[in-house]
Amino acid sequence: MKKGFFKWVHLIMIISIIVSLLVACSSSSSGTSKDGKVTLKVLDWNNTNTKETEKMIKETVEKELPNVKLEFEYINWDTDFSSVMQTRIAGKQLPDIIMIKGGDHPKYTEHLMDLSTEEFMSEFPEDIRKALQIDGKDYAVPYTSNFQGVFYNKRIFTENNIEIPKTWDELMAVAETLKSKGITPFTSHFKDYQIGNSFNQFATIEVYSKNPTWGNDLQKGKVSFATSPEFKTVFEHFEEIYKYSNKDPFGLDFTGAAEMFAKEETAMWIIGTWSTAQVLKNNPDLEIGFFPTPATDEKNTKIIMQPDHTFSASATTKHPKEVKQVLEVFATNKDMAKKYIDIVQTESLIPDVVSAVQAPYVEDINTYKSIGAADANLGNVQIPWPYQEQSGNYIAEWLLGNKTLDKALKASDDFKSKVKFSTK
Amino acid sequence: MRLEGKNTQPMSITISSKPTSIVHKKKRVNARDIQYFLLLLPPLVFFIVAMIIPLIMGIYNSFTDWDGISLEKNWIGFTNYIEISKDEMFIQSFKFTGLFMIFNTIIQNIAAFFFAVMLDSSIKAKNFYRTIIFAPVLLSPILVGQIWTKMYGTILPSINDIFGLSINFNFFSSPDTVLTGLLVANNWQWIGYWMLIYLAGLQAVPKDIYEACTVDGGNWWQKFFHITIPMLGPSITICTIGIATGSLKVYELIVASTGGGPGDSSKSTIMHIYDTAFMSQQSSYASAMSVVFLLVLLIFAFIQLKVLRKREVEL
Repeated sequence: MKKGFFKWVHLIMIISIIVSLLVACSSSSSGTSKDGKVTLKVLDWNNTNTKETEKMIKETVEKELPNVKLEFEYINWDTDFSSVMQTRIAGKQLPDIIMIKGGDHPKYTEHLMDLSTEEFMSEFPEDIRKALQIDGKDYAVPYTSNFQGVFYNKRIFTENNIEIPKTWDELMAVAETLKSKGITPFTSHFKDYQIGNSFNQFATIEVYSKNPTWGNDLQKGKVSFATSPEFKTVFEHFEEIYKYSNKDPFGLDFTGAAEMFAKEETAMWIIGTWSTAQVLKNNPDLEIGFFPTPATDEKNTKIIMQPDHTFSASATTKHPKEVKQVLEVFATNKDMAKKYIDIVQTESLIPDVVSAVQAPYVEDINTYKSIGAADANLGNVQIPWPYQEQSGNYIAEWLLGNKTLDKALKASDDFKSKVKFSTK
Repeated sequence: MRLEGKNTQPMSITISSKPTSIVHKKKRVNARDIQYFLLLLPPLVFFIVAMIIPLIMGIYNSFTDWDGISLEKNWIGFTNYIEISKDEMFIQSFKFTGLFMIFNTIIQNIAAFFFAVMLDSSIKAKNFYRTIIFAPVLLSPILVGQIWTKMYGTILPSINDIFGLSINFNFFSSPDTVLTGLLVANNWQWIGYWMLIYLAGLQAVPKDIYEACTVDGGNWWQKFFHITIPMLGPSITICTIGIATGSLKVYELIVASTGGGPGDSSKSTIMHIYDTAFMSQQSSYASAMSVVFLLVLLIFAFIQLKVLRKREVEL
């Protein structure tokens, strides 16, 4: 009797352990709490001064919407964004609000909330909305933009009486002059994403400026890398940059490059505005100038602008009303927008919001804006980022002597079937 | 034991002509059985949910055109598998992974064996050496990747500056040296681990066999080749299979050090599969590559086991 009793006690205990395990597995951390507050999850890939931006956004949003609590989750855009989005979509656990980089939206439209009819979207000028629209519909609140071009050391340029180059040939002449004076012309960090990034920069000014639908034509088989003289020029630009770069660019990453440029070891760096915060961390007194990446043909020498941080909502969020309210705060609170760009050191897409950052490169960008800007998304939405990176790998193999230029171009064509295009 | 011989009487068995009635005893399910079943249930559920279902889903996906995000997937038969045979990058990544595995298996086995024999002898401060050699095992491969990136990129080149030399230490920045660089980093980390397996094996060899050999006039080399190596057969099997499968699955070390570069020169198969699935958004194609890779791993592990088991000595 006693033995049997203990057996049943064991059994009940085991069942209770299993039941508690299952209950623990099914509990969810997001939703409405006891005090009536709605917790919304925000997926964020910004990596500049995140603690400050998070604190500022939370304070502003929670002040305007006392029933909402924001919970941030940070990831690395370059290495993790695609995989995180893919697994969250597959697991039906997409965060309520997602920061998406301008140009990435077409991939995810069927999982994002259509914001076209929201009143706050009318705050934005038509051209900014259009740059992010897919089939005429809005899926994101535009927030910031970055600018890409050539950052240069003002002191080195002034001391050597160097004028700002306007064409690619002039840029190479500047590089030659610097080299002859014992100064390394370019900072290059081919170890990580620089080839992929510059690939889009060079292609924007040399290829897409002439044919804005080149990527779509590539997909349809109307054009190819191997038969495009313009793309051959893009590839050849890398050979010239490589020739005038720091020692061992394939061993240098972004952080190392920022340190090198900050220590004034090189004169120029072809990159975007996201790099300046890192450079100035290493050397706050550095006078950084900016000029547009020179094209072969001067009329295509334009600064390259890209909608950068944008905020979208999950189509399947359990709190659509609160999510829209938060997005409205992002779209309309100009004070928050200004604080954001000052902390992240970038430019705002919210009308009338201007950065208070006083730096020579910001003044240069504002000056060059008047000569017109090319949209980096022209290429990004047609040639997906992984495709650009892979072509970058073929360029690397060519520069290192493992492929000929023609083979690198052909390999880029062959990769077409191995990547999903954003647009159909 | 068989009972045969003069003294044993042949046994006669009479079989009854009556059909024997088979009685099926109703098996009682008692509380203990339920307990065992319930205890097994959680791991079984986890195994099915985390291993079996994804495996079946992965195999199914490999026959579709699913991109990993889209809500629809279409059946496309063997198209993905046919594509693999033409995929130069898959073949290249496979070649790299193969070379990485071969060199690792040879170097790590020999070095671990060597250190184990050395540290099993009566040298001074052997515990100190054991600790030094074993310490890198405790680091994560991500950290090891970063340590060696710093080592090749900054620390070793500073030797050039100090002594006025011009040796190229940055193994990660050239396709010709990247494999060597990764082998150095990987072996530095793992030799200590396999050394411990060999040490344990060495300490389990009965000392009287060595004594018998000494009595028979055997020298150190004879003892080493005729006793130590055969007696360590099981350890060699474990180490070889462990190193080989570990090398085939290399991912974190490469991500943290070369990122698969320069170009695609250090892209391992797992990394290529990951990039295809999550960066290029070709989930179904990546699934097909995973299935092929899984089959190769299985065949490989089977051959290794068969070959190595034959050489082992049973105590």
